[in-house]
This record gives sequence, C-alpha cells and structure tokens, in this order.
Amino acid sequence: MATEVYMPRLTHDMTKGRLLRWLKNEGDTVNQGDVLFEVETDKAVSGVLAEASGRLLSITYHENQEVPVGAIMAFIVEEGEEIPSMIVSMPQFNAEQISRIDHIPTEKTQYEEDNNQGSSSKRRLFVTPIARKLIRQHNISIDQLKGSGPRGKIIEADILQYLRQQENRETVINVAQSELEFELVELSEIQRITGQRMIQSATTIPQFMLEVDVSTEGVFHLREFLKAQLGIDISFTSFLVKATASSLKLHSRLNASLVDGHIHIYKQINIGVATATNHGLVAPVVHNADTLTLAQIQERIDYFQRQAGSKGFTLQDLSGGTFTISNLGMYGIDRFTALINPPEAAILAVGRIHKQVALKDDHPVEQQMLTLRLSVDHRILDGATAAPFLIDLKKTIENPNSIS
Amino acid sequence: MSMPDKDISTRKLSYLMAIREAMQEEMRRDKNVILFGEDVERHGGGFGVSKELWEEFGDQQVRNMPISENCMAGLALGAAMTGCRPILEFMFMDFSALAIDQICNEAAKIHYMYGGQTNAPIVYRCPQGGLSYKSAGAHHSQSLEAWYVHVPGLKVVFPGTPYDAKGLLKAAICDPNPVVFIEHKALYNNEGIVPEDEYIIPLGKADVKRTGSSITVIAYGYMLQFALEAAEKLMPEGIDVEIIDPRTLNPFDEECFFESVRKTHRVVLIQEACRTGGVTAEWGMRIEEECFDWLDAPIVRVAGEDVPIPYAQSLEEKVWPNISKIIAAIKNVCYFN
Amino acid sequence: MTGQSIIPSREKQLEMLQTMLKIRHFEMAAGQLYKRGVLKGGVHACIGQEAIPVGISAHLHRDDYITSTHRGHGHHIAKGADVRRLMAELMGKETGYCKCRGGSMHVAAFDVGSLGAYPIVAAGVPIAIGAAYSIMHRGSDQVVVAYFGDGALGQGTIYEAFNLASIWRLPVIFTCENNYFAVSTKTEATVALKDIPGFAASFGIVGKRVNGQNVLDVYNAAGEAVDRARKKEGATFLFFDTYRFEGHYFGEPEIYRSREEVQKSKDELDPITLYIATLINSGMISKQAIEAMEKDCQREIDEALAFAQQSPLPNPDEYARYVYA
Repeated sequence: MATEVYMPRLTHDMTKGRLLRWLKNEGDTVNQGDVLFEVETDKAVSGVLAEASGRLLSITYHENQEVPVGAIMAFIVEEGEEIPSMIVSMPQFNAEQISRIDHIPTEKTQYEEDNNQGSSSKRRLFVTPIARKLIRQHNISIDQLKGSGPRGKIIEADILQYLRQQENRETVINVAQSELEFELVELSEIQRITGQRMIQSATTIPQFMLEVDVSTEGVFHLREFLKAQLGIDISFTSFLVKATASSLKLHSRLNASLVDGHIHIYKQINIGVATATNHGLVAPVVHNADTLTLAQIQERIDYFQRQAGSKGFTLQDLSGGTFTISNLGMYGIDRFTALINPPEAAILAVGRIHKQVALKDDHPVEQQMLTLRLSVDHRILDGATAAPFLIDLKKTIENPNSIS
Repeated sequence: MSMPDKDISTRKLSYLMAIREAMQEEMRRDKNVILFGEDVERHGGGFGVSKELWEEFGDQQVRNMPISENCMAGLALGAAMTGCRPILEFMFMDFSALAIDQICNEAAKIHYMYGGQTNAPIVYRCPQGGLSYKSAGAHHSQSLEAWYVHVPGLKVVFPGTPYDAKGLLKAAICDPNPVVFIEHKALYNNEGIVPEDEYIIPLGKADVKRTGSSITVIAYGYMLQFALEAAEKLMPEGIDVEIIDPRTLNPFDEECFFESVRKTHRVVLIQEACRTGGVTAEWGMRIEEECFDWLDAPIVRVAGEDVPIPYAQSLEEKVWPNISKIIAAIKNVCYFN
Repeated sequence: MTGQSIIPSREKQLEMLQTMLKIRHFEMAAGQLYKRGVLKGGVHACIGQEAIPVGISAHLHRDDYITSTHRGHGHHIAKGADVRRLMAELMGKETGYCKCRGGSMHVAAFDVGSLGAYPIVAAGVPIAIGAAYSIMHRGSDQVVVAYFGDGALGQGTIYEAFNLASIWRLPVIFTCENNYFAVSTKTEATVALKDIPGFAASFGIVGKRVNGQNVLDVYNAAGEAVDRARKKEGATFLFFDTYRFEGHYFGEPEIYRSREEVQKSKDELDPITLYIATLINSGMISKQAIEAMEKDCQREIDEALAFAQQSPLPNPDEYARYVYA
C-alpha cells in the first residue's frame, strides 16, 4: 500500500500551510526521515519528514501553494506497489471548492458537509444573499473572507470590511503607481502574518495603556555584583523576563487569554521576547520563566540572539507564549506603545535606560531610569486590576535582590 | 385638496374623534353618505365613535340596524349600487363573519363580474384587536384583516395613528370600491396631531414612520406603537430601525417595502393577528421574490400565536406580540445576539 | 285571489306573449348551444316559468330595479334586456353585458334596471332591500323586485330582509318562484312553513299565493304589489307556483322526478300554451299571427346568436380589468 504524503497539522489552530519548496523531486528515492518539503505556518518554517521509504510520486501541490491540513500532496511508493487510482483522483477539498460547492450544492456534498460540522476544513459555508451578490459583484475569492454571523455565516458587514481594507491597500498602491517611483518588496510570510495579527489586535482588542518610570540603579548594581562574584553576564532583558515572570505569578490575570467569552488563566508563565529577524518580527518564548534561574534565562536569551541571525526559530521556540515583552531600548527609543500579541492579555513595552534627575531623600540626584508601558486587553482587565502588576514589577526592578 | 403640514398644526385629536370627524365632514359634503349599524344613532355605535352624528344628520344619514349583519351588508351593497355611499359599522369586526357572503362574494366582485356596469362604494368600519382592550375573549378580540386581504376587489385599510385614521377614512368614503376599514379598539383613546384643515390620504400608500439604516420593520395597527417603542430602545445599542406603516393592507405599497429593504437589507414584519396565513407572510414572500439578493438575514415575523384569543390576561399576554418579542426578533436579524 | 281582476289591453297582452316566446326561444337556443358543447358552464333555464317575470315586468318602468338569481335569463329579457348582449355574455364574448366576466349565472343589465343575477341563493334579496332604501333616500317612486326561488326560504337572510323591509316600509316586491325543487329537494322537505305566503303577515307584509303559470294572474297580483310599493305603502310577498320543464341545469340527470311527471306538466302547465289558448279563445289573436310572432322571435334569437358568434373574445391580457373601479 502506498504511503500518503499529506499536509500535517503543525499547530493547534493551523488549517493550512504554505508549501515553500520540495526538497525531493517527483520520482526521487526517499528514505524514512528525509525532509520532503518545507512548510511555512503563521509561526515558523518547518521541514516535513518522510514517513516511509520508497519513490516519491504523484506530487500534486507546487511551491508557494496553500495546502489545507490533511490534503494528500504525493505518495511514497515501494517497489511493486501501485498508487490507488481512486485516491489519486479524489478531489482535494480546498478553499476554491468550498466556494463552488456553496454556490451549487449537490445533495451529496451538502450531506457530507452537514455531517462534518465539527471539522474545520469541511464545514459548509453560509453566505447571506446580499453578501453573495457583493462577492459576485467585486469578484472576491470566498476563502479570503471570514464570517462574523451566526455559525460563521458571511454577512454583508464582512464583505464591506474586506472591501474597505482592499480599498486602503489599493489607494496606497495607486498613489505610488501614478506619482512615485518605487522598489517592489514582497512581504515575507512572517511579515504578512504579523500584519494580520496586528490588524486583529488593533481592530478587535480594546487596549489601554499604563506607564511607570522605573529606576534601574538596583539592577545595574546587581548585574555588576553577579559579574564580579559569579562571572556571569546577565543582560537587562533577561533580568526583565525574570522580574516579569515573578510579578505575573502574583498577578495571574495578566497571564491569560479571552476564549469564547471565558478567561483562561494559564498555569505556565511563558514569556515571549519580541525579536527582529531578517524575515520579520517574531517572539520566541522563554517557557516556564518563573521556574528558571537568571542564568538559565540568560542562556535562552543568548540562544534567541544566535537563531535570529541565522537559521531562524523552530515551532517549539515560537509556541505557547502567554505574555510578551518588547524592548526597543537598544534602538534609543524613550518609550512606546506595543500592540498586544493575540490572544495574550497584555504586552510590556520597554524604553531605553537613560540618566534622569530624581529626588532622593529630598535631594536631587542623577539616576538610571527607564519607562515601562503596559498595553492591556480591557475585556480581561481594567486599570484597577492591571495597575498593581505594573507597580509590583516596578518595585521588583528597583529592589532586585528580592528575586535573585 | 392639498396636504396640510402636520408639523405646523398643533391640534390634538384622539383616534376615535379623528374617525368621527372624517365621517362628519364627508356626510356634510354628500348627503348620500349614510352611516348604518347597530346602535349607531344616539348610542354612537359600539364604541361611541358616531356619537352626535345622529343629532346632526338625523335618520336620513344615520340609521340603526337590526342585528342582521349579512342583511346589513347586502343592504349597503344595494344602496351603494343605486347612488348611496354607505358606511357600515360592525360593532366588532368578529361579527363581520356573518356578512362575509355579502362583502366577499358580492360587493368585492360586483364591479368585475358585471363587467364594470356598476360599483360598490361602501366602507365597512370594523373595530378589531385586543391588547389594552383586555379580556374580551374569542369573539371580541380577533384580528381578521387577512380574511379580507385575500379577496380581490376589496381594499383593506388599517390606520395606526389619528392623523392617518382621518385622512384614510375620507379617502375610503370617496373610493368607488368596497373598503374594509379596520379600527383598533385599543387605539381609540390615543391622541395625535390632526390638523383642522381638510386633508385626504390616498389609499395604497405606505408611510415611513421612522427612518433608519439598520433594519426595516413593517408594522401596522396597534403594532406600530410597539415598533416605535422598540426602535427607541434599540437606538442606544446602535440599531437604527426604519419603520414602515403600510396603512393600506390591500393593495399594499410593495415598492415602499422594496425600497427600504434594498437600503437596510434586513426585515422584521409584525402583526397582532395569529401567524399562519397572516398578511405579513404575503409581504415577506413578496420581499423575498423581489429583494432576495439584497437580504443579509432571514425575513422574520413577530405575530400572535395560532390560538383563539383566550380570556385570562396571563394567557392573552402570552398570545399577543409585545415589545420584548419585537426587540428580540430585531436583534436576532441584526446579528446582535 | 283578492282584489279586482284587471284585463290588460290587447297591445299589452300581445307584448306579454311575445316576451314569453322570446324567453322560451332564448332558453331553447341556449340548450342547443349547451348540447353542442359551445356553452361550458352551468346554464339554468327557466323554460316553463316565463309567465312570472313577464307578468311582473308588464308593470315595471325601465328605471325600476330587479335582483335576479342563477335562473335569471327570463327576468332580464322580461325587464327589457338586449338578447344580443345576453347571448354574447353566455357565449363568452367581449360584447356581453358583463364583458363576459360574469356568464350565464351572473348576467346583469344595469341599462334596464337589473342589479344583477346572484347565484348564491338569497344573496340578491338584501341587495334589493338596499336598492329600496336608496329609493326612499332619494324620494323617488321606483320599486324593486327581488326574485328568489323556493330554495331561498332556507336562508336566514330572507327573513332578515322581510324584517327590514317592513320596519322601513320599503318599496319592494319579494317574488318567490316556487318550482317545487331546490335542485333535487322538494320544498316541503326543507321548509316547515305550512302556509308559506302567510308568514309575511307576521312581518306586517301582504303575502299572496299566485298561479305562476297564468300570466294574467301574475299580472294582476303584480299590479297590486307594484302599486303598493310605488305609493310607499309597504312591501308585498308574492309566492308563485310554477314548474321548470328542464333540469336544475341543462344536462342535469333529474333522478328526483319521473319523465311522466315532467311530460304531464308540459302538457297541462305550459304558460305559453295556456296563454295562447286564452288569447285565441278571446279572439285577440289569430293562429297565423302567433306563427308570425314566433317567427319574429326566432329571427331575433338567430340574430342574437349571429351577433354573439361574430363578437370578439375578451382580450386575455385584460383579465385584471374591472377588479377595482
């Protein structure tokens, strides 16, 4: 029996993946464990391994195609085996077919779809008449739409929102085309996905900001001390991860997500650290940060630095974040607002450390300071519940001995 | 006759007085306008609508009838075909059932089956409905417009405000066809602006009682009051309701419905009458036929339950539409739930 | 019969005979059309009953009103309706009285005072009351004849109408054509009244039983009734005994009566035969003159048939015309 090569579900919410490239060609002999192809998901690029040995045949998807999870992409065939013709001719259920079936439902497909309400890839799409009319009128591909009506029904508002987005994009492009010379730069998949998540963040999450100025004198002295006594160099970021994890433990509501109208408060504290790469912005995660020592955290941060400059991150590196820290201090930014990384409840934006005059025992003194700005999902928290976390974090940073 | 600006006039009149004034003006204008009915003379009819008319017009134009509804309706038809313009008051619309032969088999068809040789300018005044007219039970609370809307040749009018009641009744009296003019008993004491200047409201024209952009609500009779209240309650939630009062139920102003639905893409239809076979079923179907591609949600009805009207108030309230049922339906159609 | 018998003038009498013949020939022509399949719907002939509308209409003016029934051709011809337009109506032509929206059961001739035929039994009676009310309202001296059959005595509307006519002293002549069968049911099986014309007295209305096969009896009874109505002295109920020689409609199986009974009635109770005998006996007319009169009638009906046949069918696109005035 031939072995199916299919698009694996690599993350919980993955419904499709972009086939970046095949590493084996039609007819190649492959061994179990060989990397067959690379897939880009919204989190990372992954290689998919061969589950059997044999010849790779009947490749049906090509580079840069979006492939639904579970779709058969090729077969690995042993000597003497045949590709079952029935399976080969079985149509792949992709987004275009969903829209076709939706327009002209045959009894069979409708029955099958109705019986597969639970399956995310084979669900019947409901579209209201006016939405259909607009889809036809504007020649919109239905798989670009997300329904906000009951049972995910695509309603007029969904189309109008889509058209507004398109219009904005086209306006920009039109201006550039008619008046300006430009260099065309394609968005990387990570940039494209980051963009979508930030639209989601900016348009669906009501966010408010809290800000505190924090003295970093204490941290400075602690770092000096650790370097002198233990010979380890702890970066400010690592210290911040530790301090944040420690405060989150006390204020767990910030370590949470809003899921279907309920708040999930996570037991693990997994802190993402926003990191720039050549392909775009990612947030590799320091898992269980509250249980790690400063040295262990530093090890992890060093790893992030190395990966960012070279191969990039694994799915494991990028999965499971519950809170994100974004530090632009090294770029000379005083303070800024970060957009929440959905579905997290908050994000901490960290500015640069700089000298400031402050009053100490009623005397003006020069102090190392920085500004922390916390963006909070107002559906999960309000000012009164979020403020104690930030104050606690400030105290922790200013009195670092309490955590080391 | 020009349309007076109702925004300038400040005279308030009840629905009942507006109807009386319409009859009074038409009876003064034309002595062939005659009011027939049970107890319409001194007693003023079942609800006092025609009080003082007998005193002014006498037997010549206001006549008490025996309790013989079918004969009354036949008499009205015979008189109408030979030069009179009868107004026939049924004490309760429920009693018009006894006269359906004369109304539906004869008057409605007379112009057609006799090839235009004659016509029947009759107004059948029919007080109907329940709601704040409580505990009248199965024979004094029904909403029966659908019976008559189903008959070609009849016009069916149902005003929801004093202003409309007067203007439409004058139009009905002047109309060359038989007109079933429905009055809601619970509206009789409702007051509204009715200008002193004479005016007439053409039959077959709907009125947009409230403009809005989120949803079209079609409501008539007493249901118009409910719809208007529901709209005010929904405004703060961001649902901007457009309310259309068809006023004439047959022939109805379907273009007005279509125009609104093409704008809002959503419809809720409201009737006090029991659901099955109701007029809103017809309107909803017409909208579906003409405006399918404009709809963004299913067409939804709020209607009375399919039961005889019960006596106990707790049962009555269950049976009739109310504001919360209407609000729930509107939210549902606007995907607000 | 009470009251004094009046002998109409010779001219009037010949006119009555001619009208009876015209009705007979019209109905026979309709029967032919039915048998040939030209007429599709129900056609209810009044053959045998001609004397009643003729004797009554002899007293009526053009602007007096009648309301008729499903068996109404005779009522209309007697009232002076144009047989060409009646025939065209039966044949479904645009030139019919009702532009062919009505047909045999809904003939009407408003130009000669007919307010229409009402095939819903007794439905025309309250309408007649309304026309009578309108006459009172206008103060004119018109009268109204409300035709109905013995079957209508089962309808409450009749008694409602008697009640109102009496209360308001309306100028109406209630005219019951008792042909003994409501479709197939004998009158006595469904009407409990022992003395049918007598019930009118309870309403304060004069009621009379009249031989409907004798046109002169009809003429006399109707004369009193019409006179009473014109003088605003109240309504009259005339209960005419008659017999229909055809079935309830053309082609009806007539299982409720024997051929012998029908033949005996035709032999003994034909109002035309009886009247011709009377006229010849009294020397008012010769046999030759009657033959000539019959030929005239036949020609008139033939012309009516030709007129109807040559007339256009209604335009199907105008099916909705006349729904609303």
